[in-house]
Amino acid sequence: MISLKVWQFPKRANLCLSRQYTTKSKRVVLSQDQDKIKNYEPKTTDAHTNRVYVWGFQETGALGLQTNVKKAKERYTEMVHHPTRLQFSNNNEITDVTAGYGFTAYAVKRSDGQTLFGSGLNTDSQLGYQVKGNKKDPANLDVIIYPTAIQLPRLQGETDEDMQVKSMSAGRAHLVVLTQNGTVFTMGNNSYGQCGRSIIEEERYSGSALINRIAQADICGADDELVAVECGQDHTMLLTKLGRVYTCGWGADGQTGQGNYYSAGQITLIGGDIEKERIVRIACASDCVLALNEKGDVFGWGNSEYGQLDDSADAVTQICTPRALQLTKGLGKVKDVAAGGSFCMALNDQGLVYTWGFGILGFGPFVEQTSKPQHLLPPLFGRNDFSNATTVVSIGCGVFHMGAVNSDGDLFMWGKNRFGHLGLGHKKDQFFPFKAAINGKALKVAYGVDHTIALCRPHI
Amino acid sequence: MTLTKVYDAATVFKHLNGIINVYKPAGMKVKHVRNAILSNICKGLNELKQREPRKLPNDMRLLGSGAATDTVLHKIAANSDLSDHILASGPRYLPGDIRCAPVGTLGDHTSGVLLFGLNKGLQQSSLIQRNRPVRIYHVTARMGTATENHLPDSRVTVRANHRHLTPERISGLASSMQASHQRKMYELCGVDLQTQAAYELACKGLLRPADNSQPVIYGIKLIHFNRPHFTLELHTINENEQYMAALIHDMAIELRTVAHCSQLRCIRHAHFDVTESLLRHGWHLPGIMKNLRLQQNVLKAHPQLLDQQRVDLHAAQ
Amino acid sequence: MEISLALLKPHVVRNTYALQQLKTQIETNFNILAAKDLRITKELSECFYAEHKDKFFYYRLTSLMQSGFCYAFILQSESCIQKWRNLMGPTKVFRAVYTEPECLRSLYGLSDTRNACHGSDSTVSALREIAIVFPEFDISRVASQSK
Repeated sequence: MISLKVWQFPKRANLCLSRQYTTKSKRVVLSQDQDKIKNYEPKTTDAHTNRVYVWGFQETGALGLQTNVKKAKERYTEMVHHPTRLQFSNNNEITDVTAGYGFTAYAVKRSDGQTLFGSGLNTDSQLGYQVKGNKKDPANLDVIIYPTAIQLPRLQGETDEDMQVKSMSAGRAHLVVLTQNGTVFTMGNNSYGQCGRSIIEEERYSGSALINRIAQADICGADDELVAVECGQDHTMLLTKLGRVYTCGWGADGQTGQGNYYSAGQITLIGGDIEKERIVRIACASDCVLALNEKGDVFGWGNSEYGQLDDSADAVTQICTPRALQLTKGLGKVKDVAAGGSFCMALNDQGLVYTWGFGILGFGPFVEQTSKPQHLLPPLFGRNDFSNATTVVSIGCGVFHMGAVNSDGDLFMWGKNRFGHLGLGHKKDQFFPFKAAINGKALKVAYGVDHTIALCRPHI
Repeated sequence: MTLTKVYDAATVFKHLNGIINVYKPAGMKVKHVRNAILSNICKGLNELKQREPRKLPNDMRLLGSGAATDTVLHKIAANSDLSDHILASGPRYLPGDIRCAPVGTLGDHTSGVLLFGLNKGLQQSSLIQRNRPVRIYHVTARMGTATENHLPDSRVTVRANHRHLTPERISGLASSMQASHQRKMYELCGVDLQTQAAYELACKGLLRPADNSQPVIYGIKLIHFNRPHFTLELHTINENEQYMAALIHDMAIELRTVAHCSQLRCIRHAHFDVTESLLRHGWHLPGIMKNLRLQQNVLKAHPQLLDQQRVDLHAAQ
Repeated sequence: MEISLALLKPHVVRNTYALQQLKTQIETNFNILAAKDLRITKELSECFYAEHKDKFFYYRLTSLMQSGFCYAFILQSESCIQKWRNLMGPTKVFRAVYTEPECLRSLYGLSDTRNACHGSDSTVSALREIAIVFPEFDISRVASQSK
């Protein structure tokens, strides 16, 4: 089949040689194939639409990769340097992920009605009341190495469909889940009121079975509905359909935006410059908060010690009332925002990623502080000769690092590489966006403090 | 540009300059494709209206005044040079008259986009080649058998089971290989990832290797899986058939099985796409002329294909 | 030999792995005279951070310390105060992660406030802080022993 076509060419010497070789080799191949053709029964694996890749610090169990403590000890790996597929996602349809400090929560669609799973640190019962683990070693009780169901307390008549996760977010040691029927469940540490209930002095969070349940109507009334939750490290923000923002938790940097610097256990509507705006997105990884309205204007509050929110001469380092940012005025219509520990990011409608603040902003190895947003060049995010149309579609960041997903579904990360959470295969910092080797199109990326979770759709 | 119908071989030949995009069939050497194209061009040219034989100068008449009585000789136009007649001198156009060189090359087993520079297009073809543009291949592997040279026409050496292989595992390996090749891309440019120079290079997009010694893979993607075959899409520079076949073999070893490369198809060479490629039945003069125009448009749309600045920029690193 | 107070802040105490690592670091580098976990109350923290009373981060700092159990050590070694401060690294975690990536605060700190641990900055403050955190501890006994 291969070289026989050579015949029609008028080079006689070559012809003889190649023909002889070809027929001989062909005969060899055919005679070998004839007798031993096997028929395989391809094993059909359960095909889920989404899969999850995890990498970063493993010791807290947040990656959920280990199934057996003993085995994990034998093959001791403190961190996972490369994106690794989560086995749990092979058996379950995962719809959403979120990462806190040393723990991860997964929203799952399952036939048995469980909708929320978690793995990692559970020292503040941020993953609910779990009795699994080695009783002889009490330290192990606080670490869940494989995703385990978190039982959400149901009222009479609530169906599995009602309990599906609409939005969820994890803070340093608390987890907030919004379900389809609008109920908010909070669990974990409440020492600043971040769970939306009053602060109890000397409360013990370890081994606590308390999951706080808040009805939608109690937060925003009957005429509005909750659409998203977003957690800073120790505070919680809820976003409604009408674009209002409700907050609770630690306000020592003004990150609750309630106009004071106190801890608030009561979920409160916040005003300031966003009072009449329709907010569509809030972003926060630490103590600095950015919000975006539907017109594409950026608002911010919270910690501004690195000039993230204000670059004027009399700039204050803590802003406790939401204010419209002046320094993002020249960026055009902003589509997405992200706020890390000491820097902020914005994505405009042309797909340009702007960064400012302090840290590795993506402009090379010089760590710098700037309050002027500068954009990263599109080639850094995979635009080149062959993919002219590739643009960034979403951005996000952890406390020390940043990430962006482009229209091809490729995830690019840069910043501090704490415990290998950039997934580059080494522990060195990355000074400009670099593609993470995940096998699939990234749908959502959860940027933890020292680990990363990517929810992906497979290529095929 | 208005198209006018031309019947004149000389006019056609005058416009026979530029790049053509030919679909090379598998199992045919590049040299043979070249010969076939050239002989078809000549065939086409020779079928067109040919130039009349040269005229003899007036003082060198074929017929002397004394032979006026010969009736046969009288029928010949009096002053044409018979030695220049097609019947005497042979066809007007021979393959050797046309300069033609391929841009890069494809192995015998590879099919797909093959570019040729014709006549004045030779300059363009060498510019494109020196730019080392990315080629995209679809490489199909057959799992279960390994062959001596990793290609289908040689002796089978080993057999293995491949039931445990799933598309996930293959694409998982592909993505990790892609990551290591990306890092290699920076190494071949001689820069450390942790430096400002690396950032400045990364801002420029794809980095071309400094020389043509090392194959670089920019992207590997599993695009089709149908046991026992799977197909990968490779974006590469400086590759050759053996390299890609060996890549399939090594991947299979990593996946705890064996495989050989059963098909290789180049679907894109720089901006020259397989959809505009001239199939074998179109290898005739009108087809080639049409293809020349098409590729001219591609070159116009992407002038950077011929821009030498880009290469020097990276080659200097 | 000098003594110093080391205080692990609530957010590290909640991370079992970080706590283990910090304890090992302390055990290998210092002689531990006393250790306990304690709940820092409002009064205790106000007393402890009295020097920062007028700083903008005062409320932030005290409310952090009150948010959970802390772990306190009395360390002893040659030039203990400086040694522990070197191990901890700079106060500002966001800067420390770039300037001293291997220090304890860069590894386990989460923000400039949640900077993993506290250490006394001088002999005077060490004695003052130990007296606040370990009221039952008899400093004169140690002082006499070392002489």
